[in-house]
Amino acid sequence: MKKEKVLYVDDEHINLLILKKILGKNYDVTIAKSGHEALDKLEKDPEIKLVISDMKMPEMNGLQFIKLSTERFQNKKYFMLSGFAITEEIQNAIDSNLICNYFQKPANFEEIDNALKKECEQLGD
Amino acid sequence: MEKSNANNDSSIKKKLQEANKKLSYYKARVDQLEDLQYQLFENLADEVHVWELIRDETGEIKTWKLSSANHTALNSWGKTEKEVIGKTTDQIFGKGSTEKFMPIVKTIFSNQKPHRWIKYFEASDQYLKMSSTPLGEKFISTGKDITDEIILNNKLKEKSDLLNKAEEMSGQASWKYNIQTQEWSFSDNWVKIFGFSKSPTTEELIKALNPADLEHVREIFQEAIKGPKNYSLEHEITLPNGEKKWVKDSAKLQHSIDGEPILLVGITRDITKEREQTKELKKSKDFLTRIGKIAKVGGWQLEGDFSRVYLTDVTKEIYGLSKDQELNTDQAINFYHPDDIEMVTNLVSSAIDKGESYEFEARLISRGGKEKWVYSRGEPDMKDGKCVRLSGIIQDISERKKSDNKMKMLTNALEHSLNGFDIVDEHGKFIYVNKAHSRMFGYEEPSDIIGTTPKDLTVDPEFAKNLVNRLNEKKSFIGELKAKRKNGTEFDILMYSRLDYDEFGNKIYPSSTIDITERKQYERELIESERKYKNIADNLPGIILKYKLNPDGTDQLIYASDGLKDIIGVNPKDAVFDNSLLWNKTHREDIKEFKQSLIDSAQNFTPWKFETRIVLPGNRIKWIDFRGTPSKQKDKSIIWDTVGLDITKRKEAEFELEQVNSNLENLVEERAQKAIKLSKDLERYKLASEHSKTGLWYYDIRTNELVWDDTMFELFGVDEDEFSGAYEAWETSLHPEDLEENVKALQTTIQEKIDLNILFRIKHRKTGELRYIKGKGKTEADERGNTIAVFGINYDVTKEMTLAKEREKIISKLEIYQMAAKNAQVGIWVFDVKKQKTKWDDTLFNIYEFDFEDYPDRYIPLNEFMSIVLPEDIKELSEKLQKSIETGCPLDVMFRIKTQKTKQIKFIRSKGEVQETKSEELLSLYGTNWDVTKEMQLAIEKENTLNQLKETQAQLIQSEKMASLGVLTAGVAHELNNPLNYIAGGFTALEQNFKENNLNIDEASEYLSWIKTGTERATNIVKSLNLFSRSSESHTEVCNVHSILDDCLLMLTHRFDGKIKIIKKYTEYSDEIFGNIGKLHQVFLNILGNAMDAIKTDGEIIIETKSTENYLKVHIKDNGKGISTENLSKVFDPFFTTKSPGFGTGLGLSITHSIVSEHNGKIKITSKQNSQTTVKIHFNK
Repeated sequence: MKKEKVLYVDDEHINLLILKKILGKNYDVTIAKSGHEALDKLEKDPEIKLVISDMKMPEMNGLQFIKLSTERFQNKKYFMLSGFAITEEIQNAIDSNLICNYFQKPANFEEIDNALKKECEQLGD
Repeated sequence: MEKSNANNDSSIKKKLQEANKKLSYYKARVDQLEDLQYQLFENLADEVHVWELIRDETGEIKTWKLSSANHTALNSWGKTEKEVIGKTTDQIFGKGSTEKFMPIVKTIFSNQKPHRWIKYFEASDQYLKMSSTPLGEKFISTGKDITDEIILNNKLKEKSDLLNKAEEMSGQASWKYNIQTQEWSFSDNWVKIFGFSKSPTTEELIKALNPADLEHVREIFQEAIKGPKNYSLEHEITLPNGEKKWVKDSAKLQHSIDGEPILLVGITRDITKEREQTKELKKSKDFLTRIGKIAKVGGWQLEGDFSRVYLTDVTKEIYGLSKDQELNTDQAINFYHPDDIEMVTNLVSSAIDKGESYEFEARLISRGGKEKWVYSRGEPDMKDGKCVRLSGIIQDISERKKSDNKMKMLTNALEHSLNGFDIVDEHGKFIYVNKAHSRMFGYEEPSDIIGTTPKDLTVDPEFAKNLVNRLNEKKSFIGELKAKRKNGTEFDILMYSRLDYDEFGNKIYPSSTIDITERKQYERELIESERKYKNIADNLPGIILKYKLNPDGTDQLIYASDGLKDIIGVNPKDAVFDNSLLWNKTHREDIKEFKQSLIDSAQNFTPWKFETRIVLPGNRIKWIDFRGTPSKQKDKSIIWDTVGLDITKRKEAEFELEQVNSNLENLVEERAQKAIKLSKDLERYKLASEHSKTGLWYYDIRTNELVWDDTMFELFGVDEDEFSGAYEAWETSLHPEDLEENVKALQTTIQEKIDLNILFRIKHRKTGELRYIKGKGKTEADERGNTIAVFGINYDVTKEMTLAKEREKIISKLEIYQMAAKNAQVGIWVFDVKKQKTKWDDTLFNIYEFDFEDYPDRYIPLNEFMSIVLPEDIKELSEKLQKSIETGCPLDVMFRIKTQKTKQIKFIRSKGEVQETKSEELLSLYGTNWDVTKEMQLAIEKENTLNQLKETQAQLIQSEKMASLGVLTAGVAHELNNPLNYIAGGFTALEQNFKENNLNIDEASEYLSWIKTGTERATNIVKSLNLFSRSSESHTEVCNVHSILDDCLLMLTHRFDGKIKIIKKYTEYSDEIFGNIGKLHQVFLNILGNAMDAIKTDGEIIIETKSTENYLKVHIKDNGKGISTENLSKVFDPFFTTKSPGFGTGLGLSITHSIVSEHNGKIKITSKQNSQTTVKIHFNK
């Protein structure tokens, strides 16, 4: 089976490496350092359906990126991975189905893996 | 028919007869006529000649020939009958006469009427008046030779012409009035002069008269016509042209042969100009006389042989003559004083002989025997070197001479007076200076000063100029000023100046000057001592007196504090004026000793002390302890500065006792008597009054008259001539508020015959200034004992009153001080150094809770006092006391006592002064103590409160720290996330690898490095956190500010990372300061946190440090939203925040500020709204 494509956006380099390494086992992980780069990557590779984003980034934060992405692209699932506790803003995003799930750092990779899988199935249907 | 013929013949006959009769009649008539004619012809005085015409062929008259001529004619022609009868006119009168008379002849014959004519016959040199009558062919000429008549007429006319001319020239106008015909005739001149066109009619004449004169003129005229009086009248007439003239008519009556008046012959003269001239002359004469009378200048004149002299009325007055008396020159000269006669005579002679005018002053003895001084001038009128007239004036100058003499006497007096007198002219230069003046100013001679300006003599160079202006305005000036001697030294003068005028009306300024240097000096000393008094008086309640004993035994109370009223019940003001009020209160048993003690002190110059009883009304007794030190004054009097303490229990209310000390009373009585005696001798009085300015008055009750002397006028500012001389003059001068009281006092004096002693205010009539006048008077009674008059003196006490008022002010201030002192529980003490005892007043006994009974003499030994002073304070108190005693400096010390009875702790403040003394023996301190316990307690409370505040503040700071920690945890938690992530990630990766047995060293290294990084980061964060939680209070830790800043940045990473750019400009030098690390963390965390809060989206923060040997500076600048100017001043205020509630305590900067202060640093914030904020911290090393 072909690995599902996932985009991970985070401004911390080491974080990107970690996630790519660990999730790389099960998925085809593309990384982006900023919201802008992420949008470009999505543009270039429309097969990427799963997007995980950090919240706290310079220039464009996670939510802003996700909002822009939903406007530009269809059929994608968004997840947030952040050091912050859930804020009202994030809660609203969850409630409005902008994002499927929220993970708090330090990352529990199993949890993330499970969530991704779930959404994949949904997408597959 | 016969009959008819017969009738006819008879009628014809009758008619013939009749005709014959007529013929004869007529013939007879003709004969008659011829006879008549012949008679006439012959007897006529006039010429008669008959001529017969000779006609030529044509019938024209050719000529005529003489038929007959009478004697008169023949005589007139000078011919005989024979020569002329039958001859033609030419033949008789010569050729040409026919031609001459032809027109006449022709006329008479053509008219057939007689013709009159006058003709001049050259041939016979005749004027003929003829009448020629035609008779048939003949004509008769009758006539007269009027040659003589004509000549006469001509002569008359000539004469009349001459007369008229003469009249013209003389201005006389003649007229005639024919009484019989009532006809007027006026000469041509008359008509001309009076502007008539022709001789006027009577109506016209009447019209010309002034209606008012008409009756009078008529009357006179009627009288004149009757005679014998001649007519002479002056009256006014109005000419036809309206001009008015005055005329004089003089007329004489002319009578006929029978003596009847027939003519009034008169002359009218125009006297208009004359009248005017006379009027003018009279006017000027009157004027001159008047002038002469006013100036009392008499005129005189010698003329002709100079033996007689004409004197005007004024001259006669001077001589004492009556108006009609005349003198000759010698007599006039002999009126002079025998000693002067020679001089006068010589001068008059020189004038007459040599034409020398002269003037002299000499004595004249009038007819009444009165000796006068006269001034006379003589001016000779010379003609051809000879004197034709000597005239001049004479004037009575006796008055002037008198005043001249007076002047001389005054001048003498001035010269030798002790006061300086000087006169300055309107140009500001001295024109007169007496010796005293020049001496006073240090010049040798008055002449040294004359001509100079007063500028050099006054210290104020503008004074003289201002004085002149003032005098011009206000007319007089009296005042004290500083003067300058020749050698430049200054001295004080009292000067009185006036505006006056010299004989020419020029302004002059006379002044009188008195040297008052000594007095001024004395005054100054007095003022100085008064000032010293005030100082002491400020600290001391009780009675303070300044008492003076004069060398002559008189004494004065110069000053008394208000304590006098409190303790003794005498008003200081009254006591100063009349210190007998105090003497009177002294117990009679004590008085003698009292005075003796004063005398002893004065003589031996020893300090004075005396305890006396004061007797108050109701026979209450008070004891007063007086102490004083004598000092000798310049005027040889002695002054004591004394303090009197009430040493009886002070409770009572005051009463006033009046007793008059006999000595003092006598002295005052004596003085009043002297003054009244002096009033009898005006001359000496004036001198005294000049110096003392005491005025005398005398009021006669019966006549209501009031008599004043010059000084009184001066005092009241009234002119002698203005003074009414009635009692009302005094009453109306009084100040309205003083009127009732003083009038009442006067009434009392009159009724009860007691002496008058009043004080009243007046308004100086001239200057308007308020003056205080003291009046004293005595009554005069008649035999029955009724008061008839009151008389006495007035003198000006304005200065004293003002001084007294000043003192009152000071005293009332004293009162306030005293009241304050009383309220503040101030006690007075006097410490006798020698005896080491302190005398206390009641208040101190109360404060210290000592019993009066234990110390009957009120003296407490020093050691007993010290026993209640708290041991800790004894040292300082003793030291300061010792210092004051030794050095004389004022005492000011605070100490605590524990009272004996109630064991209260009281704070006492003590202030004292060493008594200035000239003798070594008496050394004492006067002082005041007051209980300041309350104040101290308050101070302690305040201290406590402050401490509490500090504690609270510390607590607050702690809570802020807590709040900061809250901030920190959030930050920390976040920060830890990432490092933990790395660790977790590294661990998971490794785990995976291990599971898959896929261990790649490189990969594994990478995973391990993640773990390492994470661990390190986490450790750092935890360490920083530790730093924040330190609550050490030590301020002596070594703080590396850069590290601290970095720690804070780490803590705040989550806030700025990716958003705000941090620029660090750290100094290369040492960043170490001593302080508290934890607290400094708090400071920079707060500041950096604020900076980040200020930046909304993005910005930058610049952290700059600078270090030198002495200081370390940290500047943190952000380009955030800034702080408004309004808020900038409040940022350090506790609880001030611009954030919404819950987002900031508002304590951050205030705690930051206090921490920085604790570190010996300063913090300052500058900001520009919407631009930047800079926080500058300066640490001193």
